[in-house]
Amino acid sequence: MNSSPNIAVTVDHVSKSFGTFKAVDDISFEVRRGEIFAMLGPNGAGKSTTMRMILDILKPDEGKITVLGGPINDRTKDRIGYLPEERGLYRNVKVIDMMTYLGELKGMPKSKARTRAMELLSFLALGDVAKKKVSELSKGMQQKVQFAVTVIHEPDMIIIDEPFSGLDPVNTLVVKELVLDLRRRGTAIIMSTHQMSQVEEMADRLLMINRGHQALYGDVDEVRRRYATHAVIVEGQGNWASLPGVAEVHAVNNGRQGFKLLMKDQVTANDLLSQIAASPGHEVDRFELAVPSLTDIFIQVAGAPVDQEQIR
Amino acid sequence: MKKLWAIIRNEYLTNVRRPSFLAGALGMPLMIGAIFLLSTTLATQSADRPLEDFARVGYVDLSAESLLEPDVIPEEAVGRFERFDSLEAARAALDAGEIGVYFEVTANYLQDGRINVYSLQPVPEAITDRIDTMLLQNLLANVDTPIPAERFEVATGELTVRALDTNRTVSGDGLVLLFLLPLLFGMFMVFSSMTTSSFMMYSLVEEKTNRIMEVLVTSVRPMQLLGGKILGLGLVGLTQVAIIFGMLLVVLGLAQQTDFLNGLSLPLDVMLVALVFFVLSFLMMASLQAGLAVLVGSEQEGSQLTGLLILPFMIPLFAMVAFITEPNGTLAQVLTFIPFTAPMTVVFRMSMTAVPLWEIVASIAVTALATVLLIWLSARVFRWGMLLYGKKFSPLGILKAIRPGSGGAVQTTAPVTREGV
Repeated sequence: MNSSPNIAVTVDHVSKSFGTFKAVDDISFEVRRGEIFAMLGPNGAGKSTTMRMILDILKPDEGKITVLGGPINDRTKDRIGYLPEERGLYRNVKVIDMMTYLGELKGMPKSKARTRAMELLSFLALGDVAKKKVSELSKGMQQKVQFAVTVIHEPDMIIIDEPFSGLDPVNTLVVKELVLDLRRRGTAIIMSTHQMSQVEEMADRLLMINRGHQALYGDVDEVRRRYATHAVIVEGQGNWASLPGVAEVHAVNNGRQGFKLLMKDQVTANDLLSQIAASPGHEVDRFELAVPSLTDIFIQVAGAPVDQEQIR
Repeated sequence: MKKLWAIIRNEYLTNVRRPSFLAGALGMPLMIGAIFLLSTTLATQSADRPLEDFARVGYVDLSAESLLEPDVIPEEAVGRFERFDSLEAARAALDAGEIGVYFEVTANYLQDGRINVYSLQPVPEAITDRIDTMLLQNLLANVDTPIPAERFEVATGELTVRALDTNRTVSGDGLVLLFLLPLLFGMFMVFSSMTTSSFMMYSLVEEKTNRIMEVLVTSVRPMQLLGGKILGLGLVGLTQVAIIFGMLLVVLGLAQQTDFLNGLSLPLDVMLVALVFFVLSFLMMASLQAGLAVLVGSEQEGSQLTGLLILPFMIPLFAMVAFITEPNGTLAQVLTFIPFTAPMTVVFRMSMTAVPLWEIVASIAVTALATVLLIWLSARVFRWGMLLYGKKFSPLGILKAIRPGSGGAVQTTAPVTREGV
């Protein structure tokens, strides 16, 4: 495992059992500074346990974890922000007081915590609710306040579990912008979510855990290419089966008139494109490699039995 | 340290703003007063054999006219009164247990009606009535002495009861306050520790059910959180005690302006011991509440458990009648050495009678030891249960958590949580 300063987290052959149940089994990965690292997996796969081990809430039975340059300690914890999946706030406390208190618990001086809280609330268009009690806020507002609490101390690393759940599209955009801004500033971001579109759009790399095992790990685009079939997607007019390079034609149900063309073994996408251009009666609106969506890959991996050989 | 201070401050400010805090600080003294008066009334009414309880009544006649004749005794109390030649002799007989109470007819009695009653315990009104009757009969028997008319109206015109072990005195109608005041103060402290420690339950249950706990444990150590909460809430309790103490000082100041409460004062010894027991009982209850709070799933469940937790501490309240009649009896002594009952029992007993110093010291020692043990046990349960969700707690689970070598959820073992693994 790499120990360069660019690495925020190193998880090295970590396992964790609860009684006879092995929740996490020999998982290894790294998270870099300034990247969004997606942690994926079905419910009960071991994501929360892994995140809790990184946060030192749980100790691994085996393996080693280093966070921000060393084993986690009180000082390191002050440099981490955590947004758990099931979350809540002190209901009968003023928003600004609660944020200031939680900022202080992250080692911030009281006045600085208060100033930063006001800045964040203003950015999130919540400046006018600072003195309201949390119980008076809408659910979406509370979600945004929770996110603000996670980043109030300007952490070097954040772990966010389902950060967009419960947010409407507008607020999703606001929080997404905040996350992307943190990435630009070099913050390491570990994000667990079931919203694959967000992962495709935002994440740089990913780890998929299935039943405690490491199922996929790597660059998001590279993983998608890895699962790509020898096929292209086309939209347009023509008799696709008549093309010499095409082995099979499948209609694609994506709301538009598309087809997935499985190519013969020796045929490349460029060859096929040349054949289409040379064949009268064919008109192309769209032509792309048939790279599967992360949802497809997720279903494919999560639905498959665990195979140790395919993992790495 | 900064984080600990932040937790202490947050707990303090959050809880002193609770309506239940103010209700406790102001309403509780009234409630305790009502309970006490009721119990005292019941106790004195049920004492239908006051002279028997007090064995014999001694008297010392220092009046210039030697008003009391040895043979002029109320019919129903023949054989119960015993004459002594000096106050010293009467005191010796009291200490030896030969008499339960004695009174002094002062030198200038005929003119000022001053009678001093001495006892080691509260004197029931029935006894002072008997003394009054006996004095009247003796005055009537003194046919050769000119007696002012007002002596016949009330023989014990200026009655002062002096509690010998504490030297507390009060006269006239303020009699009951002699024992009431320290008792009220002591009881208030114990009740205050109960209410403030129950804030611990509410606070932790809220943090757990709202899932703030998960964020907190990534910011502070579990023991920092627990310690900060205990200290913050302890300060809330002390504030409550300070408020009631201030109220008492005002009452005492006003009392000096009235005839019947003149001379009333707060006994420092009882207050000091009450303060020590306040701290101990608060620590015991707060750590118990913390240990249980992390195991319950809702505020409702928490409230029910709080009620159960407080019960053992309340036992002395139900035994108050026994304390009044026999403050140094077996029951009182046994309850003195049980950590849960010791705080209220010792304060009750000290208000009523002279409690041997060794008993007070031993009681504090036993309670302190139990407090340390409870804090240790609760801390282990707290660490184990703070992230436990969706799982009914079992005695076996708690035993596992407090077993030496077990590190708790936050360190080495993990609960199965509702959101999965």
